[in-house]
Amino acid sequence: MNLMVRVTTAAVLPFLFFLVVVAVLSNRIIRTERTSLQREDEITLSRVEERFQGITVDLATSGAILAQNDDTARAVSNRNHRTLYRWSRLFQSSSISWVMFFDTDGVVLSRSDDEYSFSQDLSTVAPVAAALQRERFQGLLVTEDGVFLVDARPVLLYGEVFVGGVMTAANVTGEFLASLSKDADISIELVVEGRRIVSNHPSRTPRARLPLKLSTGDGPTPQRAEIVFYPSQNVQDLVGLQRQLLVVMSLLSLVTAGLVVVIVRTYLRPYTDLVRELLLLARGRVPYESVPRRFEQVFPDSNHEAAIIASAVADFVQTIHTNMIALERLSTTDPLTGLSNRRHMEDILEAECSRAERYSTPFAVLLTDIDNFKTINDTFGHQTGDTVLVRIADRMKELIRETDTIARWGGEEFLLLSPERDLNGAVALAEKLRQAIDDTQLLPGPVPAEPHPVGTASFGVAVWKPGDGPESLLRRADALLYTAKRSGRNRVVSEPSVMRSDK
Amino acid sequence: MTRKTLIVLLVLSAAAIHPLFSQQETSREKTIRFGTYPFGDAARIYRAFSPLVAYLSQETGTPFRLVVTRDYQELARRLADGTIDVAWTGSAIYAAARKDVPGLQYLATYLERDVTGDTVQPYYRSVILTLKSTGITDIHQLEGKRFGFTTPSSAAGYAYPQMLLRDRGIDYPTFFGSTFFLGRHIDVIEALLAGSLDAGAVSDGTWYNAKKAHGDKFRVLATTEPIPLDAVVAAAHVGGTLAAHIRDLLVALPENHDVNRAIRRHLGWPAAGFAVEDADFYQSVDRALGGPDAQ
Repeated sequence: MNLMVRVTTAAVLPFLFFLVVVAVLSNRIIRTERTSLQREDEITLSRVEERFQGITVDLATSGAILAQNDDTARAVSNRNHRTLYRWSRLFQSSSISWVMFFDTDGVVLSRSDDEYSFSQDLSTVAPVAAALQRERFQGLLVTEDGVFLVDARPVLLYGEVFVGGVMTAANVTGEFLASLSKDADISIELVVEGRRIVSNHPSRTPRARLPLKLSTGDGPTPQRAEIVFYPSQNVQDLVGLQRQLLVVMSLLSLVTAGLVVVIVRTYLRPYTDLVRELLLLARGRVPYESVPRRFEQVFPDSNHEAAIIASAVADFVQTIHTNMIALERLSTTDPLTGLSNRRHMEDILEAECSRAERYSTPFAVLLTDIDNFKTINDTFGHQTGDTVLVRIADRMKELIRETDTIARWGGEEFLLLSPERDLNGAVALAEKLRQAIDDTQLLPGPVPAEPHPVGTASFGVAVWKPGDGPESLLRRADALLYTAKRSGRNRVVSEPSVMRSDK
Repeated sequence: MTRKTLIVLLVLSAAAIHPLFSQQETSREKTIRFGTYPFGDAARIYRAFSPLVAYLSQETGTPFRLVVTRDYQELARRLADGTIDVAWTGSAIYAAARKDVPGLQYLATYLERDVTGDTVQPYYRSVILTLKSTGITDIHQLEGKRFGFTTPSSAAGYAYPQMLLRDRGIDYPTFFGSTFFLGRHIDVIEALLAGSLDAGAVSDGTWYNAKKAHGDKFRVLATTEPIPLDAVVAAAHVGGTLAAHIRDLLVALPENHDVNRAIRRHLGWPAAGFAVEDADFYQSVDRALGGPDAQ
């Protein structure tokens, strides 16, 4: 997991945790509220049933008072409309929609809700018919004008003489049903003989329905009577709050994650770049010599900590690289002459043999030995001998190609490898070198009593042949050099013919 | 001074003092209580009759006090027991009170200008009305129909119409399908207009006002004989001199007097004054109050 993912996760995780906590706690609160609502629903149900029963009792009480009152009984008997109207108005109330008196034929004598509407024959209407039979009726009445909860009973003058009847009624309307409960989150629905009466019509989806047990007595039984409960505003508010919290927390998490990514990208990017560059460096994908320049490009802000670290690393790499080059030079160079040393020349020779074998490109080797070098040391001292070695090496370097390699092969032996050079060319080069060495004043003075050449060089020249390895090639060159030494020194011997040259 | 002289002096002194005592007693008792029955709102009755009471108080020099009784029975009882001295009674009440209150003195009859405004009369009439829209043109077509009276104690709203029906051979309890007592004349009109009645009995003044208010929608099926207007009476204990004085004061009232104007204004009656009628004037009331069985 990279740094950016870690930092982002660390920043967002608390929000996600809080999100879960909010969801769980709010769910618990909502569940508790809903349980409470169910209990309230049951209370509301019984309250509505009690209020309905209360209105039934009001109707019955008023009907009983009016039926037993001597004044109203006399007025019914005397068909005294005005007196009956006044009495009925006294009993009309918020719960009693109207009071009606009728005679022994069921003809209306007076009704409270319309002073001048009377004389209708209601003898066939169930409540009136019951009262005419001197029976009490209590229940629902369905007419063209609506649905009514009524109480009808006979009126007896002096408690004995049947003179007519009285009917008290409550108009069962939406308002009537609404008056059974002040709770705005419910509606009461009643269906009687196909007529549907609803207290109100909230535009919400119901959350529960409970059947109402209404004591409707003698009239038609409601086909449906129930309370419809709508979602509580509190619960809706809670659910809304929960949603808002969850949305806000989710957005906050996303925004935080985004900000963290931006911040990490902006401020931590150099560090991730640094890690990447160091990994590339460690895996050898970046040449040491290009590190400083590459780091300058990757870290343009030199004041950034990562850039400072990168700069330090680049300096360190450069130092290492320099030391490596120095070490490499030390390991491949003869310290006295500055020529390649024997080990280095062995590596080159090995590689050149492989290359010649692969591409059939022959090369030549020239093995050189300074004639009577021991005499020089013995005569002029080792320091002079070293000087002779240096001067010969310098002279040969001056005369060879850039592609040629010359190495100090032994104490006073030199080996020259000349790529893509045939035997003739190699012999010519060897002769040119021999002549140059011979022409060079190497010694500070004459060597007394020395019959052989001193300060000159002998050469064995061999050319690579297919199947040659370093050992076979050098063996031949060494043999040719030996031949040159034995032949008098200061000469070049090559294969297959031996060409000698003297001074 | 002899005993005889002393006795004579005492008798003379007593004779001289007696008028003073009598005067004091008269002043204490002679607040004339002017009673009337509750034919409407008591406050309106007070406002309507206050000028009359004030007029009589001023003219007689004796304070009159208006008393509105609870009902006819209280008015009759108080006339009889002397706690009301003078009373304004409806014709039906007067007819009943003549029998119930011994020594009741008739003073005058209240006058009204008739519905046409042409004449001043001591009577009015009752009409049996239906709506023209019912198509009923004759009273006998009302058989089995719904009929409305005002109250059984009303002369114009019940007594005279039922007498008219009876005179035409109609026994209303069996003739009509249903009868109702609406209380007020205007209620009969409203019930007719509402379609709750097929016909009803109201005073001619009520019919006249209804015609003005609702247009010519009504048809008069019958008109009763004259119904004597209200009577002013005095209790038996009121002295004849005072009774005559009150009668003269009433009869002397001109039509445009404040007394009549107040009655017109507060009760809506077309008051025109008072007149003294003969003894037979209220006899038709007796016959009307006899009910369906009276001859």
